[in-house]
Amino acid sequence: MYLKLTKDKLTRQSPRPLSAQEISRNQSIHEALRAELTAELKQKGTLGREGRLITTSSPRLKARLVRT
Amino acid sequence: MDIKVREYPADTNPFRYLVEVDKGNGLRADYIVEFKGGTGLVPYLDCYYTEAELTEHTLMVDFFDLQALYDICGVQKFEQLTDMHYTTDELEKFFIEGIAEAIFDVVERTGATIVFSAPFKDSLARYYHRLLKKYATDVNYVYREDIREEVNFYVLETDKR
Repeated sequence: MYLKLTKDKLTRQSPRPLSAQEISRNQSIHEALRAELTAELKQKGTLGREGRLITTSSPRLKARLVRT
Repeated sequence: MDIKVREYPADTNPFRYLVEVDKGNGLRADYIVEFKGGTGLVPYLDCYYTEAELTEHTLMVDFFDLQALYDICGVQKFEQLTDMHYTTDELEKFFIEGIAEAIFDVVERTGATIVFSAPFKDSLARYYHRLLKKYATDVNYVYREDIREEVNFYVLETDKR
């Protein structure tokens, strides 16, 4: 069945693209975190110690892999 | 595909997690899930939330391929960087049963009321949008699409708010 998408529907389903300024801002945030992690890795040789396993046989969300 | 999520605390960050993905046949990868809080987050969302909430109850989340971090800093690790060739279903499983589990756990541990992410690629942003629309209400989280539309941060208000 043919379904004509309205402008509102298109807006709702597709987020506004990132502007150049937003890409730059978000890239800076990501790179700053990465730089902190690599500096820590260089200094200590590790980023942490293995702690409590939080995965269970019944996760709070199960991926619903049927396309929506 | 087997996914394990565990705490991976460090002195610098007690709220760090490790997501281990094993697809079998030697295809495996580890990801660091990093949560960041504090006053540094205030400028990003101060039009929407109080300074107190942003400083004390907000976390920014990002994730990194651990092997790529080893490669960048030149620290030897005796594994080869593996292209995991995720299918669409496997990628969704990775985000929902890996990254999202780390988010749920850190929210329970910290009582965080806001968790947000700052994707730097349109493809990643579109993917976050699709997953948040599909799953947020299942766990009584609110996906603030208005904030995404205005400033392109992907904000979840958690069930602790």
